Amino acid sequence: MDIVVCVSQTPDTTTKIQVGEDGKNIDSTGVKFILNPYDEFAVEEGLKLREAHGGEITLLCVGDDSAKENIRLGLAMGADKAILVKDEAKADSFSVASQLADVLKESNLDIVLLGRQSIDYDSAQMGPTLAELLGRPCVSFVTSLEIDGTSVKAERDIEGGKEVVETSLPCVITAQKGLNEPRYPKLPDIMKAKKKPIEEREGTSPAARVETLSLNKPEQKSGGTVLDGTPEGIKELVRLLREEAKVI
Amino acid sequence: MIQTLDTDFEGYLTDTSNLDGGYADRVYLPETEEEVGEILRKCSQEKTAVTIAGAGTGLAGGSIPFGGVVLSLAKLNRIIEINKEKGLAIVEAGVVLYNLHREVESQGLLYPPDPTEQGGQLGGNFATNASGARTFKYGPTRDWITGAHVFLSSGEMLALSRNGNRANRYSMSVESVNRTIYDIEIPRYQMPPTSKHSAGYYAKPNMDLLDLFIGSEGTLGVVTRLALKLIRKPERLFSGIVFFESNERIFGFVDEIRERSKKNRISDTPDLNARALEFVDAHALEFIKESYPSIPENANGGAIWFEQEREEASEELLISHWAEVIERYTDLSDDSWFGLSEKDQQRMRTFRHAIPSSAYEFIKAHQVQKFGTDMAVPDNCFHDMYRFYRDELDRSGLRNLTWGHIGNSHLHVNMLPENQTQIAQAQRISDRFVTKALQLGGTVSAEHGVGKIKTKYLKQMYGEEGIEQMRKVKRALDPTAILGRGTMFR
Repeated sequence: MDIVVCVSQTPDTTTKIQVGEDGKNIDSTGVKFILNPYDEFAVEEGLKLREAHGGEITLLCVGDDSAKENIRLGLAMGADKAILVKDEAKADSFSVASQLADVLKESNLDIVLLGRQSIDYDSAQMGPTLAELLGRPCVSFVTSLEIDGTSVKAERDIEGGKEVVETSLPCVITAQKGLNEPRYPKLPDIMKAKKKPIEEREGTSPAARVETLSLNKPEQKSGGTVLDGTPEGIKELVRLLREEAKVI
Repeated sequence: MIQTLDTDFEGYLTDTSNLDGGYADRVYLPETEEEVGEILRKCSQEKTAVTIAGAGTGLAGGSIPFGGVVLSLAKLNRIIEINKEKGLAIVEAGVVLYNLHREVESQGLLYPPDPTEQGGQLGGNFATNASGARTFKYGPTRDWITGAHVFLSSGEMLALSRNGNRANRYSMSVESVNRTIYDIEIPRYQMPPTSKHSAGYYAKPNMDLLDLFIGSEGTLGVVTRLALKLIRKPERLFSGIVFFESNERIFGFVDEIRERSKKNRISDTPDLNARALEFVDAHALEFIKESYPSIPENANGGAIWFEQEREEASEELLISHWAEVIERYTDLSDDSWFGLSEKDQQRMRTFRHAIPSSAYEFIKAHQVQKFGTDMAVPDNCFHDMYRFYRDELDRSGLRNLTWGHIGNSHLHVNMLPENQTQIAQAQRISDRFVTKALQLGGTVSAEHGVGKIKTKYLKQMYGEEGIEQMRKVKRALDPTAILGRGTMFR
């Protein structure tokens, strides 16, 4: 089975994000980048598919040199090789998706796996856009995946429940939490990962279709007010609800 | 006006120990150092007992009041300064450790002490000389404190700095900011030669006054502000949870890693140099197996969690060194877990923390008690101590699980007795453990402190004479004897 897993790197969840001077991007000074956690589920699912059906896993990433360290993590988990499409701009989701599609159009792949979204911009467009560009079916937010021959049965999260869908290979699957538990890398794989090839290609940096006008941090919540249960406290509560919160 | 609670403060009457029955008249929640001074002056005049409270995450009952008032430092929780150039942080005592770590690390810095309980406050860490996994490489809280504001029970403040006030042999005098002089006679006992120790007052000839307050468990003064040393955050880590089939092999592995790490720390070559070396026994693995199905079946020797700092240039060599040792000592290398990413490293820390937490949950749910040890022994006595633990536990038939800081020869052995007979049995075994640890030159508490539940063991360690010498120190600094009554000694 020819398996492709698209990966990206995102700021570490514990990073304190600051808006950059241009007001349109984050300030990446001192920011530690990690492998997008949803992409880890995709890598793990790829490994499970390879264990069941044989084949090869290629990691595919659009990014700059700094992404290599996180690509190596995917290789240490067990992926066979990687392609890095060099594009620092990563103008918008469409721009990235079309560069992924450019690479994949020429290949004979069976399945593309990727996280349901990256945890930085949270647009969740990559999977569906890529599938559209490749002219392949897409199942997103998948929590369970079964493949038999070329038929695919997937469970996906929907509001308040689960939906079970069927499609066929080749297709694009986006991974939701719950699909699997990503494995820890094994010692021999960690050692091998250094030697696995990362093929670099020049990106085409297509123009963005979405322009970021501004980036703002959410308003800081101010502390609450604690009132006691005395008659005075209750009077004060009513006054605050009426005059300050203006809800009664 | 000083914030107080006169009712509904049950949360201040317990901690994470078994000790119950705590009671108090009032809880003070000062927001400034001036308010701390004011409260202490008043309590001192009225001779009201004051129990100092941090986050209540202690394991020895130090923050549980038995009468009088509670002085909570929770509202003194500002990070005042983080100075990257000087490698220094100034924080108030109520800052939660987790918040400090997060703030410091987001600036590319590291505050090395990492007690497993990240919800504790820095003031509590100061009071118990707390330590954690990284203590193996970086030492306990004591080594990272460069200054402190301490309020004495009189309400006067001492502004202490590292090496700012040293004893002359065994005597020391100290001046408060309002110029009162206090004369202190340093106890003459010898502290145990373990790599971790948190029982009784720190005492050495020519010692630094700051060290007397660190680890004094709220019996000598109230720490309100601390100056902490920071280092550059290491570039990357390599960590693992390695499973073993037998005890012999796991301890062989530990001995080799401990010795090589200690050696390489001095020479600073890119070789094995664990910053954390932690043990989880097979019983503890069994305890959390349901939540962690990938623990291998035959991990009968338990597991070792390690962390090693790495740099890109030398990491290949480093990892190959680790692989060589691991493969020499275990056949479960392929079933072991390794991490290069921060996320995997965090998952391993969570795993390590899940063990005491799940034991704690079990105790709550089944209404059983926990008898946990906190002794450390000198490294060359570790095997003797462990054999003694194992023999006693196996013979007892009590439910038990063990984890801890094996790099420092410091394990937490935990017994979970289920009825009164078993409780009495666990008590007797605990006493025998302490006696054995002391015979081997160990300490009765390596990191949790004596609190109110280990006073008898402290006395066993230092004798009545040693306790009397500590009382003398306390009388000099807290003449009205209002601070931390019942903690450390009665």
